[in-house]
Amino acid sequence: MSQQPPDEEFERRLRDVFRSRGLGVPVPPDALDRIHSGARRRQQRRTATSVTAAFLVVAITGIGVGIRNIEHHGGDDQIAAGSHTPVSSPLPSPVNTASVGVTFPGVASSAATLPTPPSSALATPTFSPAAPTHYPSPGSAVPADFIPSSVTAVNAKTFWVLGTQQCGQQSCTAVVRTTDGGAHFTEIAAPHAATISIDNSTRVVYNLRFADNDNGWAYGEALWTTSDGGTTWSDTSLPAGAVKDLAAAREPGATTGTVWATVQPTPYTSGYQLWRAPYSSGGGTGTWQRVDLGSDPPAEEISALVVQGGTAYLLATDAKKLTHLYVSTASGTTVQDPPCIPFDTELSGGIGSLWTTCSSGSAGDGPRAAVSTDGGATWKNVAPLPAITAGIIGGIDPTAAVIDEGSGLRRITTSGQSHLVSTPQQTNGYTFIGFTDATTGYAIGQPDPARLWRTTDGGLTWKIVRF
Amino acid sequence: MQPNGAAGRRRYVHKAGVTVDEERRQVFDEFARARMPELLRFGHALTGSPHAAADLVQDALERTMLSWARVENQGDPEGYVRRIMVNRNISIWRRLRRETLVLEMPEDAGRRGAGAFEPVVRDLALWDRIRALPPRQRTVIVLRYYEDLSEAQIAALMGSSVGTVKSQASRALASLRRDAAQFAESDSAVADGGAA
Repeated sequence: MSQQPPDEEFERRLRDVFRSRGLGVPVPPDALDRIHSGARRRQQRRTATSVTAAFLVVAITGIGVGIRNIEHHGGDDQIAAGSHTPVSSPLPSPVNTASVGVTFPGVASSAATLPTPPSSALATPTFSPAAPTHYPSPGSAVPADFIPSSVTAVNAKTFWVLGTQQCGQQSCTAVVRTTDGGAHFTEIAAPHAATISIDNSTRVVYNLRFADNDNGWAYGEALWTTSDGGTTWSDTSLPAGAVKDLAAAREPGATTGTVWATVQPTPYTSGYQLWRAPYSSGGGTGTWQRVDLGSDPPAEEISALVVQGGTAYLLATDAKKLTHLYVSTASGTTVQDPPCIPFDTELSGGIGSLWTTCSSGSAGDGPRAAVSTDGGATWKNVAPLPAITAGIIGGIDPTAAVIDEGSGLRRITTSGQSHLVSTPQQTNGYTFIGFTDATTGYAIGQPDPARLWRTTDGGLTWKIVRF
Repeated sequence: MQPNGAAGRRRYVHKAGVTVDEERRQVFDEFARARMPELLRFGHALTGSPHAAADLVQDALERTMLSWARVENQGDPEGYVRRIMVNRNISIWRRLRRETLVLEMPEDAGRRGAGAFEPVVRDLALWDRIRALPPRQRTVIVLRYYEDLSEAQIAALMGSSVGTVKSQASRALASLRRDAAQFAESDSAVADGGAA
């Protein structure tokens, strides 16, 4: 019978094992390229995490008529949205599935010098893809190879999905819609824009938002709008720059709503901007106006946008890289402190609530979730989270939320419950989690290829959406 | 934990024809190129697999690249990357490696005792047992005995309490000692010419 090694000797052996092991790993020759392209995809996915709380408001309010131009709100910039390039042919746009380029996330370099040009100076998009070999017919059934990348819903039954599908040797941008909770889908028109960048002249869209049955926006490096439910799309080219995030909502009883957009005028730079425009059924999207976020401190980089009713909530860093919660309404913008020292902080909206996750690195207090029911004025800590770095969170209501835990989804409640929920398959993370109401929600998981999941029991169980 | 070193904070030097954006990207690229070998080594220690290490480093550097302006401004980019690696390793890859670590050790299969650089057989076995530890315990062991961090530093890095770190380390060491004792018995039996 042998004796246990003494502590000191055993600890020395442990150190020796690490020192003696050949732990070196060859650096892949294309490592940097892979990091660049991966970061770009990640940024595109990150923008998809904007919250669906807007759906809640939209879903329960009536359809308004006529655009009521909002008052100018502090900013100096005002650009008329009107010089569109309407697209009546609902043909998917071909894209190359191979992600190329080491361009930094968000904006193609060719669009890098357009802080706030006059509308007349905005060029027609230079996207000129190679001819596809196949165009699916609009209104037809969705091909089995449709891969979802963004989802947007206006109620529990009606939602749209932006994605890609094969057309010959290429992939085409496609949009599908269901009005029966996903039992049946039909393909509708898609913006003539790629969802994956081909080169620096490509202005991609990677997110889709609908505010009601008529008004929708596909955004990314370009901004396309529809006012007829996706039958036709227009490239507005406004606001100038890359639209990093977009959300729309209207207050109960209002005839018009407001669509908000965070804009990065030039790639990989600070100086993000907040813009907004009115919209209404039958009237489309009105004039985009820049919102003054104030200068105490000025917002340099906006990382999250949540819109609830007539209020936009932004997580943004100032020039000192300190993160603040900016709360913007028609009457102005106030600045509040977030619930913790942020480290890849996420923000999400649920019914009557804001949810956030603060990841590790925040002064050693560990990752956790917090909820606010008073518009971010005060926050309540929820259960500590497993060690995560940047868990996407989808707020449900003031009592519950679902967070990304890598291979699974965790549902947490303010009563202290925290457990992994039943999901149809393992993933390598999620690009979107959002809820339309207290029971219906969506998650886009990242197995290969991506899958859209849907829950109808408040996030307890999830099923794959079949197209 | 590596200090900032040469890859730490630096000032931008404006060059003719080079935009600030490009300069930032170049600084990130320089940082990534310079530190990737050591980050991969650290990832290998954390994950027990060179392939998982490559994935982990890429994941962490992608995240770092997206926040580069802020990360660089904070002055410890490598610390940022390592924090991400530690926590992502525990979360995203936890379940996958639990299932495969003990079963697949291809990089060891053909190298056992093959060269003077290789440790003795019992330490290969110890290495294998380290790799088979649950992720949190393995992370604590790596940070303690590979990175030479204190328990307080480990706790800060993992976002947990010192008590948790101590308990994880205690469990890990107990498990490793138990296994080491079994291997010692096995080695002894082989040396004596007996059959196990």
